[in-house]
Amino acid sequence: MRPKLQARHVTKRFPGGGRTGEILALKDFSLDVMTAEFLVIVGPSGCGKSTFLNAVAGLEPVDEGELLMDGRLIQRPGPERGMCFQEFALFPWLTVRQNVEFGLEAKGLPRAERGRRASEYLGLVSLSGFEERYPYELSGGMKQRCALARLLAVDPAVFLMDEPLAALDAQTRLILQTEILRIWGEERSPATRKTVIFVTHSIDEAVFLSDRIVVMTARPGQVKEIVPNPLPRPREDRMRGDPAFARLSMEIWDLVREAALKAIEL
Amino acid sequence: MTVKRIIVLSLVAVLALVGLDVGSADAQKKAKVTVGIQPLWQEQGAQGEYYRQSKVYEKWAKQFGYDLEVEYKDFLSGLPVNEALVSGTIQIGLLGSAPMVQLMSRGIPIHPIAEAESRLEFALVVPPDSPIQDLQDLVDRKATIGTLIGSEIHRFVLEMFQAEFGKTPDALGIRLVQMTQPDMLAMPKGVDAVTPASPSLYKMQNVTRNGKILVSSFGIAGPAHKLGAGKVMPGAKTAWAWPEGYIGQRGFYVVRTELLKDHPDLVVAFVLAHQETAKALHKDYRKAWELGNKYLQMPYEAALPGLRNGMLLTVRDWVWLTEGDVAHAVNGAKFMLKAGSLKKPVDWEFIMETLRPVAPVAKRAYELAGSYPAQDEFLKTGTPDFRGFPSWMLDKWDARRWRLE
Amino acid sequence: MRASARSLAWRLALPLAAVIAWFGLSRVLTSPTARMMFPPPEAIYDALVRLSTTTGLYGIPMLGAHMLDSLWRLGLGFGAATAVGVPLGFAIGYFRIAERCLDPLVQILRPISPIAWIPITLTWFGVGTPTVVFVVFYGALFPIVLNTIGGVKGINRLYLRAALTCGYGPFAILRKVVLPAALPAILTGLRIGLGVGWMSIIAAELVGTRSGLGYMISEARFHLDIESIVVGMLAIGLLGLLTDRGVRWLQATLVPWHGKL
Repeated sequence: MRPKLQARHVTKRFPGGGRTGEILALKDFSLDVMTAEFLVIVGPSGCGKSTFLNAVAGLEPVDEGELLMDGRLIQRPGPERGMCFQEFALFPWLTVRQNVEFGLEAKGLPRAERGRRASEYLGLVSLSGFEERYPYELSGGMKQRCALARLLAVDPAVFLMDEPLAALDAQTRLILQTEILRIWGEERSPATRKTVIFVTHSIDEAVFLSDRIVVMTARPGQVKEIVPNPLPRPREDRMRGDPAFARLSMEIWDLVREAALKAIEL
Repeated sequence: MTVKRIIVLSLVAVLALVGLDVGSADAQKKAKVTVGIQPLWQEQGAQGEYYRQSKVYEKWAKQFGYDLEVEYKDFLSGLPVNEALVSGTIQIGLLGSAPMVQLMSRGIPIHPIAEAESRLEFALVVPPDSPIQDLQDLVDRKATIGTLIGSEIHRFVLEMFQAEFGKTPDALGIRLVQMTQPDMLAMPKGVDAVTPASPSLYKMQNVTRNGKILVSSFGIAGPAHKLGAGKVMPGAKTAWAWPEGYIGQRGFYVVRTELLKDHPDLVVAFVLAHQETAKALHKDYRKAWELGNKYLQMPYEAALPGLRNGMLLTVRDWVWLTEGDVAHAVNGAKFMLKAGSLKKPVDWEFIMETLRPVAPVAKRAYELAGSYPAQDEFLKTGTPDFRGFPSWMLDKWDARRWRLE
Repeated sequence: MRASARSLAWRLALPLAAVIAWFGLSRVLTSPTARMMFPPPEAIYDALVRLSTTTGLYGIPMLGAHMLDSLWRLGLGFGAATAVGVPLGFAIGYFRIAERCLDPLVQILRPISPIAWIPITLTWFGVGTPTVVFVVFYGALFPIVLNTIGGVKGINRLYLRAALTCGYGPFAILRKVVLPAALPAILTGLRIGLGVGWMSIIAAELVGTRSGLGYMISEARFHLDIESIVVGMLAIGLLGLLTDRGVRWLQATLVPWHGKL
């Protein structure tokens, strides 16, 4: 089975900063992402996780190496790689429903169809009844669910999620982790699931959500290690108290700690 | 050195200086006077330059024991002079009778003390190629005339039509539109005639040649008129202001009450300085042109007709205020009241009231000038100007003499 | 309900205090000179009545006519400034080529006060409405352009990213994302431009026309009619307030979400 996404020896530089006048965000970064897997990337601050995600989205060009999806080079952004952001990026001048329909308009669907699907997705994220509200009227958790609904409406093959829960309080975060897995289709067959690349700082989050965990080094970003996640699906809150959970968490933290220390000294 | 000690020592020092100053009081009194003039109009430019160069005011002030500093401020018209008088920026100012009456009507305390540039000429000017040859042509074509509505110029236009036709321009079908002097000088399209003032109107006729005088405010036809230049207009003699013309224009020096009360001698000194200037420039047109040309900006021949009109240059070599001068102001005030331009009416009595406090000053100046001219000069008849008893003989004044009830 | 009544009371408090102080002072300052520098309220009221009801005073029409004249000239100039300024601001903010070509010109012209243009504009158009409209246009243009540029450039990058990853092309993004996102800044620019337009129109009308509030003030000055000048000033203030409210209402209707997050 060919990987859904392939990164081969990707290098990305930014101008400015440092002694050389350049920041090397990613260096010789290689990674395969399998279809329908939930891949989580963890790493210290500034290690290039978001840069990688933007590159996969097609928002940033890479300087060296290749990024491929279904065997074809990624050159520009497109609806087959949808993205979700930490700051939600909901359009404040549109209502909840209009935000969701925003994704559908690009597909050229007629109005009635758009409305129907928007309601469906909003129901999926448990936001029914809030269609005519504006984002400023919603709580953080509701905003992120709306952003999720917009993403679902676009129906991409790959979900790119850049620390989507980082701006929420800890409790909402835990609840939404379960929600995300449900919406992803954890309880359905793998054939219906989308490919997800999820970036986070939180190790607990990575352990709870992932099929595999990619640990990155400090800048310049490279793959330090890829750890498979043996925990059974569907994941349940109770599992957070299991020794297996703690063990995996510790293993990941051991891998991350050194790089994290280095990132703070940097 | 404590703060307290510093303060005490400073106070002592200040008192000592003040004491010294008080001690030297019998030396020359220091004073400063600011005079507002309007050098653009006829002989005022020359007068202003003469004041500045010969320092006549300073000279006369010294005779009264003053060490005087004088500043002459140039103003473009009577309006800013009024504003300066109200705010006290100037203590003496030149005002045409219309702005003077406006200021008086508001109750601002000023007193006329002397005559200045007067018999300023206005004229109805047409384009050089205009087919209009007399006033009847204007009526026939229901012409449009550009004028300064509300001003003395406007009054001249109304009086002219009244004298020649017995009707208002409105009733004759003639339209008056508001226009400023600078606009008039460009002889704009869209109007059949404009009404500039001297000396600009001579500039138009003799220098830029974009206009020709049809009728002058003196009641005389101009080169554009079919009667020929210099001929008296048929209705002119019926005008109230004849022999001055359709109207009589006057410019007055006025003084603020404070200056009169605090330093009456400085007022006397100014009148005497002005009298000396008027005498020096009288009938010396060449000199007047040399001094005033920085404002006139015209060759001598072009400026000469305008200068010749000036009352102080041609008609009188004395500056004392007379009954006749005030009569012109009162007549103008009647017109302004009707036009809604005055808050309160300004009549004969009103102006006399402003002259009473200043009468002794005027008399003193006359005497110190050698009581020139003799009494009968004031009462002479057949002169081209309205005169009459001077302003220190107010008890002899009579409004009925001037057909002003 | 009570809260809004209280807020209204606060808003009226200072103007009311000023009027009371004015009445008080006018009882004390009674000399003619003082009354010219500081006209008492009754005199202003008389002038207001006179100006509103007399035609042909100094040969000019009534107060209402002047107010309308100034207002529609302002409308023309301001409308033109919006029609030119908003697209221009978009172009400079969004397309780098446009910025490189046009921005220097904008920066050179911007500091020149519109009032400084009055004399040369008079030579182009002569005395009349075109001069006034041009001066208003010029004055209102730059705040509108600059605020629009700021609005376009200041867009949160995330909106653009979100739109791109939804599958929109650059021109669709311009229409659907950039325009609504920049709208609050544009409206701010309109509001500021309107204010500058008001200041410019009065200066322009002082010398450039035969009607309008600026002209009325200039005529009243000629007749030493301070009270009418004050009436003119109050009329300007009133119209300025009303038009500003108009734009603020526009802001509240078009971008109710702005400022709340």
